[in-house]
Amino acid sequence: MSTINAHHTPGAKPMRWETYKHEHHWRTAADEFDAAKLGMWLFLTTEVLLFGGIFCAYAIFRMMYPEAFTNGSSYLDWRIGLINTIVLLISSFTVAMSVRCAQLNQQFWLKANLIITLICAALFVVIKLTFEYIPKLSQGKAPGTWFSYPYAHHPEEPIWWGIYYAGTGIHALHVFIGAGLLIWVLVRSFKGIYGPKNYTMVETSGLYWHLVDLVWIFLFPLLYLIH
Amino acid sequence: MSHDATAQFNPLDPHGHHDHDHEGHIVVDWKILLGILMALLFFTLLTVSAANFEKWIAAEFDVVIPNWVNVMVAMSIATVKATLVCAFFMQLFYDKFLNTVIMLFCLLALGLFLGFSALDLGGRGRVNDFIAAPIVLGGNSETAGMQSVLGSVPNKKTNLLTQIEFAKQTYIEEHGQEAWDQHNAELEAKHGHHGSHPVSDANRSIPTHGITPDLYSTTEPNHDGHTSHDDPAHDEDDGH
Repeated sequence: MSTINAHHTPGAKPMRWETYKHEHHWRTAADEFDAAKLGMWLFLTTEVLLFGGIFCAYAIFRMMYPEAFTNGSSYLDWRIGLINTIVLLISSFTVAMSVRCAQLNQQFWLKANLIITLICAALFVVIKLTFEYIPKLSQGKAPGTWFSYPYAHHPEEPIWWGIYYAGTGIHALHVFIGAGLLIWVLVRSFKGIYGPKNYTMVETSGLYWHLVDLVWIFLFPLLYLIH
Repeated sequence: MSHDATAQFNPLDPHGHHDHDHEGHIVVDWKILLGILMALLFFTLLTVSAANFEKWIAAEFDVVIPNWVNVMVAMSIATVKATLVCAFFMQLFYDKFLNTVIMLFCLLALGLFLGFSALDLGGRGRVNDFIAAPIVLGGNSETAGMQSVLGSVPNKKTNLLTQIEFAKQTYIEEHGQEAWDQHNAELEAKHGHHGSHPVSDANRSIPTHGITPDLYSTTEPNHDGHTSHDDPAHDEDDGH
């Protein structure tokens, strides 16, 4: 385990992270960083509770209509879910690596890791749309009142699709928001803003992205594996 | 994170010049991060394998693993994965403990939320039994769900008698009317007032004064002469 050591290269024009000054109301940049991170964690708890509502709805409807959920789960291909899980886990790893690269002033790998993460995010959405949302919606496997799939067996299957689209849809929204944050971080990293003295935004955006991963870690078995 | 002791607050120079501001912050080794990724992928394959194994063993050998085992295995593995992500990718393991405390309180709130919801839904069957049971003033212990909840409680069939009436009838059946009359007379003599008071019931604790007219008139047993007559609405009822 190494700790951060910010070097100035003598004579070279300093990068923007080297001249970074924390806001004047903070005693040190470390205080500013810790407070930002604390705020991000507080925000993440509200996110956890948001998804907690969906998980609670899932649990209640599953207890009420277990057969409908068994049928619903059988419509999903676990292999697609597995691929998307692997994609998200890799992206989580690359985000963690990008924080490390910012801390160590590895500017190339900071950008490379962010780009890999964004590719994974795009891959996740593309797989989701191509193999799940579009074919299923075109077959009429739609939530609630939009349901029109003619070969269903259980009267409560529209509820399953409601839970499925609510859970994965809000998760996908978080994928878009997280990707948007990371694009912003990437653009700013091209300007040399992030480095050993300033990586707060890399870290907090990374935390948000990890939450996207965390939610999927629970959504995947609940939707695809439990039957 | 601890900072170097020289980073004291200087009101004249609040920005200061601290070249080693982030010195205390941990840079997580890439080998640890890669190891965590490998562990996460391993657990992902494990949970998929467990689910598929369960399907396969049910199809091939007709061995049906109970659904709750399936759920517990999948959720346990997911929890392990989530813990790894939080501890190392999100750096809670290296971070200020406060961040972990915040997350734990959040999980406590989530647990209460999910737990009480499950308790409610899981208890509906029992509650429905209580609701479905016939209503007798003072209760008659004939509630269908009573046995399953309290276990050793005698499941009396009172034939819709009140409990006290049922107890009296049971005593008379066992010991005869004379025994009851004799003992009752003894009690009357001893206390003087025994039996002269109306049987208390839950409805009598309801205030009979209110802004809604005749709110209690259907349940208020005011024909037996025991009700207080300070409510003019009830005096009218008695006049029928």
